[in-house]
Formats: sequence, C-alpha cells, structure tokens
Amino acid sequence: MSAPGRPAAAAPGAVPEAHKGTSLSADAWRRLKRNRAAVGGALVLLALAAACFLGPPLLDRAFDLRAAPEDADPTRAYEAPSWSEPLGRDELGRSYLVRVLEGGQTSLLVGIVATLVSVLVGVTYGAVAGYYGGRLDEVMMRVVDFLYGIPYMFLVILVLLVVGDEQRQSAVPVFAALGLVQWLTMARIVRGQVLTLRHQEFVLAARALGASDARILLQHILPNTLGVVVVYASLTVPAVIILESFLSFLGLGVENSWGQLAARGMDVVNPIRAYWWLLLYPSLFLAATLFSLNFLGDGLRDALDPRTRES
Amino acid sequence: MARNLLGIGGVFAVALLLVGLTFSTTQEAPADFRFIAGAEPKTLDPHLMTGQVEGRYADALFEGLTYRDPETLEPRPGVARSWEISPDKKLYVFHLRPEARWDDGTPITAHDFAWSWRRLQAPELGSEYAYILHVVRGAEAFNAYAGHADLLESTVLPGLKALRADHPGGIPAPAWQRYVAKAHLNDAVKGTTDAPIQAALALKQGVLADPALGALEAALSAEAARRRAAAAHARVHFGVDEGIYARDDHTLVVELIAPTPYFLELTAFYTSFPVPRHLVEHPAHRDDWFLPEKIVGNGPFRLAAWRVNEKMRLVRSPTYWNRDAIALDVIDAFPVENSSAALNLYLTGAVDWNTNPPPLAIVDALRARYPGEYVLNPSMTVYYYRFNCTRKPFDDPRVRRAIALAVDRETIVRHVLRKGDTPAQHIVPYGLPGYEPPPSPLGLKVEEARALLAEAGYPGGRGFPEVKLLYNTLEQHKLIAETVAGDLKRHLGLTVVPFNQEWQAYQATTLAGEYDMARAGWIGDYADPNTFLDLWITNGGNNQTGWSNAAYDRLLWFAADPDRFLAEADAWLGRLAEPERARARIAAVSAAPDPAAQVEAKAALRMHLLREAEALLVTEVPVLPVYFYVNQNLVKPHVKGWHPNPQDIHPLRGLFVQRPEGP
Repeated sequence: MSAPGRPAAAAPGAVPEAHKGTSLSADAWRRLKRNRAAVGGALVLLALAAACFLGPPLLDRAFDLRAAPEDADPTRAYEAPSWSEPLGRDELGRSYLVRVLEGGQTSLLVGIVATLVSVLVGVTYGAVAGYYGGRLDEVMMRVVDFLYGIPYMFLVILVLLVVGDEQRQSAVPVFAALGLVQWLTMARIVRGQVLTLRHQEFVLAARALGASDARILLQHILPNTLGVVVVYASLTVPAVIILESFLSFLGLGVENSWGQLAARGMDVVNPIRAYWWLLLYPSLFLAATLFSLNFLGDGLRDALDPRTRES
Repeated sequence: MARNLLGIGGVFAVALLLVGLTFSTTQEAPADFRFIAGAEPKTLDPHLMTGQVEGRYADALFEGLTYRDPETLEPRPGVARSWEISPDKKLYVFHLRPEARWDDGTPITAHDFAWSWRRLQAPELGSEYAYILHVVRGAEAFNAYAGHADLLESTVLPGLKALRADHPGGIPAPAWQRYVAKAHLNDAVKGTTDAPIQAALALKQGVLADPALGALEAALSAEAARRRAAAAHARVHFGVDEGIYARDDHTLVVELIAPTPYFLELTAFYTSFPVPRHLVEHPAHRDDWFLPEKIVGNGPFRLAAWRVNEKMRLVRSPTYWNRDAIALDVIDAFPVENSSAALNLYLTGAVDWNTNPPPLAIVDALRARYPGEYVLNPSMTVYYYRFNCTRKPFDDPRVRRAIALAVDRETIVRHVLRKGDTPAQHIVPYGLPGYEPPPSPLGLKVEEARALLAEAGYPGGRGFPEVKLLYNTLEQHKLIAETVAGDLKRHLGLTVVPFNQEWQAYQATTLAGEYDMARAGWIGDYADPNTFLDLWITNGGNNQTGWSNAAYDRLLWFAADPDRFLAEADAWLGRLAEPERARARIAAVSAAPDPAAQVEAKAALRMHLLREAEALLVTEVPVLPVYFYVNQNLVKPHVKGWHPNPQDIHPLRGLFVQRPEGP
C-alpha cells in the first residue's frame, strides 16, 4: 500500500509507524550526508562558485589583479605563473586567474540557465503528455522521438546560425539552444513518472474530492517527480557545460567561458614552445567542476532514488 | 549453419573489396611541392577575385600579357612576346605569341584580350576591381558612366527639385552638403570639368540660390546627358576599336588616357588576365565556367582536382608555351586556416611552404630556432580599421580622429605582434620608389584625442554609443581588436565590443556597410602609392567606408594625368596643404629642357599630388591605420626559387625543389 518514494503528507494514514517523524526529504538528506564523494563534490562546487563570483572583485581590491579590456598590458604578455600572479598572464598581459574565474561565471551560468530551460520545458511537456495520455501523449512523444533522431549538435549549430552574428556574441542564444536540446530526456523521464503516478490511489482520492487537473498535477503529481527531476537536472548541468566547451572548440561557444579559454590555450600549445598555463588552468577548473557536479548528482540519485536505497 | 557462415563471409569479403577499391582509386601520386594556401578561394574567375589567396591561383592557372618575374616581380613577356610604347607613353602595342594556347588547345588571340577587358568593364559583371584598368581609354565610361547618368537623372535631379521646394529662399550650405552626401553626388559627377558643378560641390558656406542653382540644374542635366552619350559610345566602341583592340590576331593595341608608369605591372595582375571567351560565352557554361571541372586557363598550371576543405591539386600544363621552364609537375595546395595546424603540418614535413602566419605566441621562438626557414621581410601591406562614415557618430571627422589618436600602435607592434612590423601613421607603406609620405598628425596623443571627442559632443565618452568592432576570425585580429578596445576604454571612456565573423560573412557585411568599425588589410598591387590611395575614391569598390571627398577624388583624378592639374593649377594651389612644394614641381615641369625630363618632372608632380591626397586622408581619417605588415613565411631549405619581396608574391612557376643528396 505504501508506495515508496511518496511524501507522507500525500497519502494520510498510509505512513508506517516505524518511519514516523522522518520525512522523505529528511531521509534523503541523511543519506546524502553519509555519501562522502557527494559531500566533497558539493563543497568543492560551493567553493568554486564562490571563488568565481566573489573572487574577481576581491582580487581587484586586495591584489590589484584585473582582466577588464582596459587592464590589458601587452608589455607583460605571457608572464609565467608566479607568487604575485598565481596563474600567470594571458596573451595581452591580463591576470589569468581573474580571467579563469570570470570564465567560470560564464560556464556555470550557461550550465545552470540551460538546465533551468530544459527543466521548465521538459517537466511541463512530460507532465502534460503523461497525465492526459492517449492520443495527445502519442503525438507529443513522437515529436520527442523525432527530435531525438536529429543529431543534437546539428540542432544547436542550426539555432546558432539562425540568430544573427551580432546576437551570437551574447550568451542568450547559446543558453536557449543548449536548453532546447536537453529537455527531451527530461520530458521522457517525467512522462514515465507521471504515467505510473496518475493511477495511484492518492490521485484518485484527489480527483474524487473534486480537484482540478491543474491542482492534481501541481499539488499531487509533480512533487512526487521532484526527486527524479533534481537528480537528472544535477546531471544535466555538467553535460551542458561540456557541450558548451565543445561548441567553443568549434568557435560557436560563449565568449570567455572555460571552454573558450581552453580552446585559445590550445592554440599556443605546439612543439616550439607551450604557454601551458593558458590551457591547463581553465581545463583544471572545468574538470573539477564536472567531477563535483557528477559526484553530487550521483549522490543525489542514491539519496532520492528509493530503488538503490540501502537497507 | 555452415552455409550461413559462408554467406556472412561472402558479404564481408565483398565489403572489404569495396573498401579496398575505394581507397585504391583515391590513391594519388605524391605532389612535388605542397603548401598551405590559407582560405578556400572565393572564386577562380580572375575578373571577380580580390584576395591574395585567389590571386595565387590566378597566377598559376592564367597568364596575362606579361607575368611577374619570380625574383624581381618585374613584368616579363607572357602572352605578349614584345611590345612598343609610344613616346607620349599613352599607346601600347603588344605582339602576342602565336604559340600561346588555352589549355583546351584553342589559340589565344588579341581578340581574346580585347573581349576579356571589355567583359571586365561591362557594368553587368560588377567586377570590384574593374577600376584598376580605368586608365584605359573608354574603360571608365563603359564601366560606370551609365550608372552615373541614371543616378543623376533618377535620384539627384528630382531630389534637388524637392530640396529647392523646401528652401524657396535658396538652399543653405549645410543642407546642401547633406544632400550631396545622401545622393552620392560626388560619385555621380566624378572627374567632371564643369565649373558650376565644381563650385556647388565646394560650397561650404552661404546659400545656394538662383541663378547659381538654375545653372547647377542645367549643368547636372547636361552632365548626365554627356555621361549617357559617353557610355553609349563606349558600349559600342570599347574593346572593339577604342581603348583596347586587336589590330590583327596577334597584335593588340591599348590606348591610355594618361602616361601610367605602372601600366605594364597591371598587365601582369590578375584583373587584366584573359578569360576563355569560347567557354564564358557558351550558354551551357556561362555561369559556372570557373568551376574546377570546367575551367580552362592559359597559365603554367592547370587545375587537376579541387576537394573543398581538403586540397587543390595543380599540375603543369602541357599546352603552356613556356612549359619547359616550369620545374614543378604536381602541386598540392592545402586550405588550412588554423595557424597551429598549419605550423604543425610544416614542422612535421607534410608541407614545404607555410603561408599562414604562425601563432603570435611563438614568433620569437621561431625566429631564434629556424632562422633560415622563418622568413620575415617588410611588406607592402597596411593593416587598418575602417570607420563607417555614413553612421553616427563616425560621420564626424573629429570622432574618427579622436579614436585614431587614442590607439597605441607601438605597443601593439612591440608586444602583441612581436615580429617586427612597423607602426602606421599613414596608409601608404614606407619605401615606395619616388614617394615621400606627408607629415601625419596621427600617433598616440591622448590629450588631443580627449579634446576632440569633447568638442564633438562626447566629453569623457559620455553619450557615446557602444561600438561594435568587426574583424574576420583570426587570432591576431582578435588580440589587436581587444587591445584597441582596451585603449579606447582607458583613454576615451568608449565601450568597444570586438566581434568576429568568418571571412565570407565579414566581406558581405563590410561591403553592405553594416558595421561601426571593421578591420581590414590592403596589399599593394603594384609598387606605387596609387594602389593604396585609389581605394578611397568615392564609392570605389574597396572603399566600403562610405567616405566621400570631392577634393580627394579630384586629386587622384589629377594624379592620373598631371596635365589635368597643370590646366587648373592656379585655382587649386590655394587648396593644397603644401602649395610651395607643388609650385616647385610645376616650375620644374615648365623648366624641363627636353621631353624625357618633362616626363620625369611630371612624374614628380604626380607623386606630390598623391602626397596631397594622402595628407587629406590622414586628416579626415576615414580609416585608422594600425601597422605595416612584415610578411611571414616558413619555407623548407630544399625549396629553391623562393624570394622574399614586399608584395609577398612567390609565383609557383618559379619554384623548384632541390633536396640535398641523402645517404
């Protein structure tokens, strides 16, 4: 009777005595805290995000490290890392530490915004398809299948080419394009969840009490899909960041993201002489972020997905 | 079971065979010489091309009346075996080689040249480079006059009527000048000798009213009619019995409007090359005769294969008249644009010549480690930014000058480029024979720049719109753009956003004038300042700034034939920046003891007129010169016949490979 993974409040009276006093989220939280990799990932991620967003103004004030256009000082180009300039200087003599941190702002924003887009579109789409079912579901999911069939890179490049050159210099089209290819899987997952939930007793009970479709979806069904959505979203963020880096290597990414910095760093790696820090540091930051996000995502899945729950 | 296995094995064997066959057919003989060609060529039609990459192919696939000597770049007899020049240097008679052939075997005659130059100038073709041969009598009339007459009759005159109706008491000078710019009037009456029109164009103060206004209208109508008649005349006669024509199959006559010291060099330049009439006029090939499977040339090489983004293969032409002098049989050209990839191909020995500039980050290391192979030499090339002079706020010369005065060229050259380029305060590179550039007001003068910007209404950069700085995708353009953006932010408080486009999109954008500031470079086509200065004539195909200055156009028109200037010298001396120098040169012309000395004195006067034009250019600053390039090439030691020169032209016809005897 008590379907695992359902909030206690959703089906009154169905709570087993033994679990009284612990909610699902508290359970999940407890499990997450026990997962060292996930906790470590979360901490690293927090530290990275704080460094990226708070670091540049602090470095400016405390250590005179800057990277705005007017701070370019080509006379100090390619200075190797040192105590005063921990990550060296770039090809125009700007502080590479500040540039990498600012690049992190872009990369993290791309990851988060594109993921939010995919969550918004995917959850709405999947929930509607799954809840109403029938012909509508059939049509909506075939559309998803069709879009799946198109290589995602092709879609992204298409979107980026449709918007003009001038708009492409801003990050918005990249956010949108990446979000729009990521929602497909989210829609499928949410639809599957909704499909199993919509015939459950608590939904029937709500319907018997006269709740509208919107209320049932929002109040009763979607909260139950939240775990899956959070897990999948946490894995989408790194996927999007990687995708953006890849676009950067093709010359289509967002200006000054980690991917772009690394791509430019690639240009100065050759058999003659390598300015290794230009490639190494953005790649390190990128890798650290991706590892943390993946560990955290895995931890979240373990914590929220009851099927892998430890006894 | 066994039969199934046999079936699977059979299918597998067939598949393997197919794969094998595919690979064996793509196996080609290795090339004698391989090089990095830069971008893919936009076209192979010599009349439509404008770029250096395309020019290299044109020199290989076609040949003009002359060709450039691989070492000195002086014109050598090409399709023309010999020529005579009249004493007044305005008439050239070329004697063509009877043995010259198109590579499909058709003989090349003088008619081919006359027809080709006519095609080049036909307004229907829309060649961006047609103006380079406007020194030929009737060429400009045929190429542009009908368009001028249309402009005058359909736009200028009705517009003038409307303007007159708006200002019944006479048109105030500012409104009139605005109208001149809007209606492209300078362009439509370029080179006119008509006094009322010239007076009106020069009007900067007061009011344009009757009777001058009536006279102007009449003069413009007359000018339109005159141009229409000249165009109609040229349409019938140019390339037939005027300007350029065949006296017989192997004798070609070219008439010039004025002595042109660089004319023979022009006959070695791709715009003047012949195109195969029998193919270009053929209804089935007219629109795509320049495609690789069809193209017919007359040069030392022919196109054997063109696989886009992979390579282009040139083979020695068996029909070329001088085929025995060509050393290379098979050449592969790789269209690699990425500088790291190109460098790696070179360092691993996959190519013999890398034309791509290596990544800036390592130029100093390359200089130290490959002194014999990394060849740096001053180039006849200027790197500059165009201002869009039709767009606010760049329509104000003070704004343009302020920006030009706030860019630190020295730092760009020394610390960003680091390969020994020369900071440019001019448009014409230093060292052209006979030319001394005018004093330039440009340079890094921050205080003056700030004052000018404030004077133009943007003190401290307040109220100045965000500037988009366009460049074509290349690492070094990006770095320079970022440095310039930093300079303008720091010194003037302007927000400049660099943004890039691929080469072809970039060309379309600048041609359409849809930019604020755009990066550009110009390689001199011949060793004369004219090749840099005639870019900026009103509506010149390569102007693309919208800048238009009647005095400038006029100075270049004078320079094309100093006699024109001598006829109007009295009226013009007062308008020159350095009238004393001009006067001295005029005196030298009249004092010349013999015709040869007179030709020389006129050449000196011509150089001074060009100097005056450049002085105007560096005051009005429609373009911001940044630096003069050094050419960079990586050439393997076994490549011989490769000579550094300022134009960075290394004809493939002169190259040969000589490897040291190995064990």
